[in-house]
Amino acid sequence: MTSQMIICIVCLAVILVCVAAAVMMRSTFKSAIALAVASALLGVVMYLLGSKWAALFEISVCSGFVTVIFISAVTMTSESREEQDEIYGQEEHTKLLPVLMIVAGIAIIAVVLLSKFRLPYPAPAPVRNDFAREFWTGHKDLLLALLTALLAGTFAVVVLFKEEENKK
Amino acid sequence: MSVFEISILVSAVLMILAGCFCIARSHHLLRILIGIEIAMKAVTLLIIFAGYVNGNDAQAEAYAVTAICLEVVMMVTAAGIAINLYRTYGSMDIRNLKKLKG
Repeated sequence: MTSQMIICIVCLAVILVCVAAAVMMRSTFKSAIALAVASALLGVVMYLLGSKWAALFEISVCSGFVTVIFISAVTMTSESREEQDEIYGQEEHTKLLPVLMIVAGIAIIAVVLLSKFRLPYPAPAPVRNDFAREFWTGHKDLLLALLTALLAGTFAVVVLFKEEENKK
Repeated sequence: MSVFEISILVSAVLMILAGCFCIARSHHLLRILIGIEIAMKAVTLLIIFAGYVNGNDAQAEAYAVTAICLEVVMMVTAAGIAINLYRTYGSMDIRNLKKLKG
């Protein structure tokens, strides 16, 4: 096992802790911070797996931009602790999550080891390792979908803010 | 399977489990968004891992970047809806969404 793999496994362990913390914490602000840390570490894992552009996007967009959106939303919609207890307090039993994750993790490892499961390694295909060429020319349907989604998102944001202006 | 591969697969499955748990157990809209985000991260990790396993890194990277962009669009739109829900009803309880009209 190389040092990169060990770093990767450590990062994955910390990601799982951060994810559990993000789900369990009562403060949405702290949950957003935990999610940002998990995102940043996931970017490190992606980089170690050889996907540099995906890692760049994960760290800059998911860990940065999405966290800013979350924190803005939390700040603009701050509910007091009493209100949260009144509305959601009886419903969230998130203390079960770590137990559930540990049991599920042990069960998956046991199944994989006992069944001697192997990943279906395919025959090596003609690989194009140039991300830019693959992204811009290899999958025009993906680009079209991405462009449509970006336009839809922009339209949604414009509509939502327009409604707010009308209310004022 | 090596320890490395097992750890990635187990981590991804556990992240999906945590995300689904968060979605299922909460009525708070921002918490549900956090659950969706966690599950999406696991899916992105699995896409990258698939590319790593079969050697087609660039294609997996293209899919992962697309997934990340779609995730951001979805998050921005959902956050806008969440803010409007709060302004309309004074809480982030998704059960209030049933009352929305128009």
